Amino acid sequence: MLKTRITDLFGIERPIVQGGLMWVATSQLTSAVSNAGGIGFMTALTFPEPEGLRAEIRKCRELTDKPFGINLTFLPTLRPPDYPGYIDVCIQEGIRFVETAGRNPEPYMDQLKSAGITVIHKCTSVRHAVKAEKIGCDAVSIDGFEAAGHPGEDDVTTMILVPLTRDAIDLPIIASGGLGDGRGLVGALGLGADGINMGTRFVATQEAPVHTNVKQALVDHTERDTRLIMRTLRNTERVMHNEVVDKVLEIESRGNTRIEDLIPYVAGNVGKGMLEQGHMDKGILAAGQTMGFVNDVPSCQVLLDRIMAEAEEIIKDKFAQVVSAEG
Amino acid sequence: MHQNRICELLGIRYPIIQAPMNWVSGAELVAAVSNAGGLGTLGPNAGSKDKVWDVDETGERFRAQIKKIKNLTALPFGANITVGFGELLAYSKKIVDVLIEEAVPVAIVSVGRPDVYTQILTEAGIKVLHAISTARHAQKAEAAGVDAVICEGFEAGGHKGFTELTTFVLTPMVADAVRIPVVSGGGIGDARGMLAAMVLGADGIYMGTRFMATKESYSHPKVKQALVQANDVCTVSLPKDFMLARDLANNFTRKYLERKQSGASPEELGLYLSEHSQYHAQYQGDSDQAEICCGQVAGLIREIDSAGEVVKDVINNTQSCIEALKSKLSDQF
Repeated sequence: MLKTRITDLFGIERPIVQGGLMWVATSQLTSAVSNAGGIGFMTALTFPEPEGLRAEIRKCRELTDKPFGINLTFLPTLRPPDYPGYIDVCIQEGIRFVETAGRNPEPYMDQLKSAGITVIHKCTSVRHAVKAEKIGCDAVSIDGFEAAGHPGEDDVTTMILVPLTRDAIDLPIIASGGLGDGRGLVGALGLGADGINMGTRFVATQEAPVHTNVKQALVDHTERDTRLIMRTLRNTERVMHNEVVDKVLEIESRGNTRIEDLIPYVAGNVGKGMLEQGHMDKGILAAGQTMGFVNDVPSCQVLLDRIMAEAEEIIKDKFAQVVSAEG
Repeated sequence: MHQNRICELLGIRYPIIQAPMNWVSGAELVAAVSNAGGLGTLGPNAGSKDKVWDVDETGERFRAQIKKIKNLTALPFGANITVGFGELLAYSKKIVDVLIEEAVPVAIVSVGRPDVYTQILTEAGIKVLHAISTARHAQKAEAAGVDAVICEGFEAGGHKGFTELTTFVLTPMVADAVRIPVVSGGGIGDARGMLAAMVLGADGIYMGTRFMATKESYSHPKVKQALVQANDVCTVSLPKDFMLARDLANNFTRKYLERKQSGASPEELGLYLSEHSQYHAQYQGDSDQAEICCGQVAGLIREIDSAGEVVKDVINNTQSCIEALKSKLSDQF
């Protein structure tokens, strides 16, 4: 067992987090991660209304008696979702952990903190982590350039972000981006993190509620098969390479990109359809360079058992080699 | 006691290799790193006072630095061969000849195919370390007979492939793909980075930028100061004709990217690069309008130490990082 500030913060056995994954992090996956000793976060916006989230929280409680949390992603939209409504549901349902992502969660901090909720904010740069600490977050989850989805515009990698964040703040740190096995876990802890977050790796598990073709595609593709789209809109997303991605990049290469031109390809319902129906050439799938390590589709229990066994072997045996090399 | 494969291969005490740096890593830095127990390596143009476009003169200047290194250390050291292509091959061929004539113990081969010089170097008894940026290239280098591969992550300074794979992904992928020793570079500047790289599967580490900001490096004092002041978002990745280059963000990189985006021809860009080159930054001290190859790790650099202190700090602190991790391994629950 690895005991860290993150296992202490959540009251869990393993410092492994499944953070928000749009459409994917529902009760089925989240409860499986929590039951395997880590902690899962269900993505609130997967449910169009707060009441949908309430039903899913109750479902998750039936599937696990272990801690789990809710992800709230603040999007830069003209008509924002009913964030206070989602937060009310979390409070009423006794949720203790909320992962915030996207924009600065400051406007909602009072509501969250006065209910005693522990807030973890997802960041992509040191300055955002410093800000998160200042506004009262309890931990940060920091995404390196190699991560799936939206890794920001600064392109700083896990190798640099983690130690620089460690030097800049006192809060517990969850490293994210490029992590999928025991080596990544111990490497991140060595850099100063207190736990790791995995996204891509958890989509390729038995419990992830997506079409089997999606899981197989993650197994079949390599670390070289990701692309960055929407960079021209400063809303960069790391995704699995396919024909739709090539089309988006071609539109972006013409210059003066407008979001309207990309909507037919990048809209949420397009991606949702692909996850459900498994037509891998019909939409866009967020995926990280971690695809290189994804070679199978295990259950969350098998995956976490394996990662922890690797990690413990490294700490007990591999370190002996490092030390003697320096003797 | 288990022997580290890179230490065994190179005959060094600590698995720390100072990456060769154009205009920067000359005799004093190379010798200081080797004398501290790592492997110092000579970079192109280091020690020169001007740019030269003459094959023999380039080779003889390199030889003079090698002789100087030998006067400063009796320990193993290396030198860089940038293979190149077309007419540049004449330069790299001359450098290969000099390495063989001077019996340099280790060659760091970059910017080119592994099948060009590996055999001739190996037959001369020189250990060959080849720089790569994908697992597939690592396998090709292994097939060509190199002694070890150096994987350079996207965060690394200087020139590399377009694949953008980061150290956290590239290192374990390469370690799984080859049987020869693996050296990991890109983003490593202290003991935490060394520990992470070794855990990810590396046998040794490769640090450039950290050694640029040392007393012995030939970098201009203004460049060293710029590295100390740099933060986490201090670099940019510049797309060049055949490679990506990671540079310290300054007015040079801003203007280069503006020219590139407004459709400047390769000739115009080439001229701009040659008039605002590493020579102008590293030798003449124009840290604002000229190119400074450097990695994201610049954000971690806070002081200009001696190279020996950098090696010592990394080694000493690695031990305490390991102890800290071991203390997290609890048998409770």
